[in-house]
Amino acid sequence: MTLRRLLDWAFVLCALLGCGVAGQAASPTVSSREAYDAIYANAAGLHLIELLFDSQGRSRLATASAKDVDAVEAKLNAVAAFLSRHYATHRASIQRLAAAPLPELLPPINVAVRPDMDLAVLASQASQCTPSAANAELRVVFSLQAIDALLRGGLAAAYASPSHFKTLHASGEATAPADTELARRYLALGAALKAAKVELNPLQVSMLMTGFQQVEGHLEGALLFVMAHEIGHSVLHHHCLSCPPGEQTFQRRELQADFFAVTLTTSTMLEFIPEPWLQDSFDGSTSFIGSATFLQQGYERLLLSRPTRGGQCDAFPYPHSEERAQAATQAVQEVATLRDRDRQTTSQQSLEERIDSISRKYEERAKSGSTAR
Amino acid sequence: MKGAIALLAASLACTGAWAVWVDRECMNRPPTLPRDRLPFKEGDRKGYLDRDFKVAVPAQFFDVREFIDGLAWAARPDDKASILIDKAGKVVFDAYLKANAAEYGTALYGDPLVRGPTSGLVMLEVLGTNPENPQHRRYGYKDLAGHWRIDPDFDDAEPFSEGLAAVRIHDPQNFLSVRAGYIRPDGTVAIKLTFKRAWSFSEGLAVVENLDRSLGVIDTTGKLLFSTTRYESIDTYSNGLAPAKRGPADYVLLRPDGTVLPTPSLAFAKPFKDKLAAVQIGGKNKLDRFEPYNLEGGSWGYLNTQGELAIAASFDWACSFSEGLAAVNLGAKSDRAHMASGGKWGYINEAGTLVIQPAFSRADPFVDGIAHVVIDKHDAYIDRSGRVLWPAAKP
Repeated sequence: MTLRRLLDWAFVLCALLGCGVAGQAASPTVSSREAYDAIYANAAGLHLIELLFDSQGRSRLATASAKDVDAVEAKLNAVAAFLSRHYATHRASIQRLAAAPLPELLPPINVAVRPDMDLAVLASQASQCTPSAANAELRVVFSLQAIDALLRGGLAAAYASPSHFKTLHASGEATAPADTELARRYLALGAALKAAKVELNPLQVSMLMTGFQQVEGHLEGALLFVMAHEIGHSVLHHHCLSCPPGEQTFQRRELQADFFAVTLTTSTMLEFIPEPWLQDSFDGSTSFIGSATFLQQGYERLLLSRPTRGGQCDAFPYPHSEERAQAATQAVQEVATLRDRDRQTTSQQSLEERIDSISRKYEERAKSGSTAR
Repeated sequence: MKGAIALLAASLACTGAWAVWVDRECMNRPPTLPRDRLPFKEGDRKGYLDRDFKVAVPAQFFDVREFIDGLAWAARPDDKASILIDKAGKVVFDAYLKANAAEYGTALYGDPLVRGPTSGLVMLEVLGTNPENPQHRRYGYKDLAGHWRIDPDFDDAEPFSEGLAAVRIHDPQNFLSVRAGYIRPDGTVAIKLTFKRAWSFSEGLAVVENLDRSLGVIDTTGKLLFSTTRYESIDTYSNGLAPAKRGPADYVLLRPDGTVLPTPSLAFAKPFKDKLAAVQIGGKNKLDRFEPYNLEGGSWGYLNTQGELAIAASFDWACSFSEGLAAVNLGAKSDRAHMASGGKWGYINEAGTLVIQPAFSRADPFVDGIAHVVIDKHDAYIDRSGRVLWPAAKP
């Protein structure tokens, strides 16, 4: 295997120099086509970003028209549909992790944007009690201001790395790109994708996915997380319960919803990473698919951890962002553990099946005497 | 950059333990006897000379390799695809499978560098057998009639050696999950695929990596002679001894039972050849990898099978002995690309005496009394006295 050794090093050099051979060694867990589709799905997020920001990264929401609101709403519904689709796939693992009475299927999600609402009110209006899952329709309401605050807050504070979130943002970035820079990076990725059309090679796929992951962590990912969190309340039937009797119960429900959200988004993301070794390299430390961004930037900006925001069920403060980050970290770790266990079991079975099949083939050939073809 | 690091990490994971080292300065697979075909270049094409240095196969190939067991790899001039040729230059079979795409994918890469014909079966590397990943390579074996004797069912393989070939299978969904073992020339399993990695047999012994990542040595029945976590890598057994890497710039020689032969402190050791092993002694380690290219200040000599320094470490690079002579370099330094550069190559005898003075920029081993050398960027063949046999001096 001496030449293989040389090839391995050539592979390393090529990986570093960009020769376009990434990912050749591994068998994908999803087909390459799905990986490409995932990238295009990510690129769909561009529409939202393009709605919210101009090419210079300036916010457009201050002068949002009804058409803009409709477009944002459509985009959010697409995000919800994405989550809904993948919820079915990951329901079992989420159930194991959250140990919650999950319904068989996630109810249809209808997302609405209300310009006059803020995120603080969202929690109480996020859903209506739906004891019968079959007839349920989950309604998640966002305000334009909340979205703006979330995204602007995320952008403004991106990489600013408050000290209490160091562990979540150990990405090694030395400088803090400005809002404009982040928006430009996102738009540049979209432009690269459009230019490449369907001719992406594996290295481009890898690089684009990395790029999208980095930027999504600050934009789309945060939206995914917030939406998944609200869906989590519904799936966990929190909305069917009475208002929490105390701060502790309220905060536990919030953490449960976080746990659900991170599990769903992380599992989904891992499904889209085609190569096992890339999956292994994904530690979620840069974004947790948006949860860190949300908790770090949008969360405190919206003052969610402060009490007395009014509303019958909102008398209690949300858990501190650090506590929520810990729940997110735990969820990511447990997803990784479960994934490894599942993969090991599956691997063992499929490997042994393949060895048996090859062994049988040559045993039979040897018996029949037909060795060459 | 994070992506690149991930790629790097994954690539390193692919490479695993360094059990086989590529000697870039010294020919790894010398030609076999009789040596009656000698590669030569004319213009931008290559062919073969006979022992009288007359053209036997006209220069018509893009590249040619030395003959091993009567066959050699060459590269077609038009598309540089690999072909296997006989000593008349006739194509034994075309390694490029384009005409046979329906059989196994669209392309076949027959490596003309080190994977030569062995035991009548030629190991081939094939692309396109895995519909999920067209870039995935698989390995199989063809006979000299060009028929597949063992289909490209394996994700990694070695040429047949001592009647057995090491093969490896990955889990299709997880290439880090692997099993390696040994097959016979009819494809049946001789030693069950229960290892993580397996290397070729030599002197009835083979190095394996167990699933727990320990290294072991087995015999041809698959019996584990010993298992150890003490070493990072173990090279091929030769003359009953195998070089083993204990750490950066720290090598020992292992006996078949796993015990260590007492030797001077070794920074690097090559397998024995003709009862002498080229070893590097001393030097400062610059980097853990790329050994022995990363050592500064070390020098090369030769150990005998008792572990004594039979030829003093006084050379800047050294190749293994062949037909009583070994190429050595004076003045070489490892360059930034971790390759030996500079210096001149000559030959010593088993007493360590320079019998052919250093005058060459490359010196391959003697086979059948002839060695290929490079003089002033030009290929040449010399005899055991150092006389240039070809090209003939212009009158």
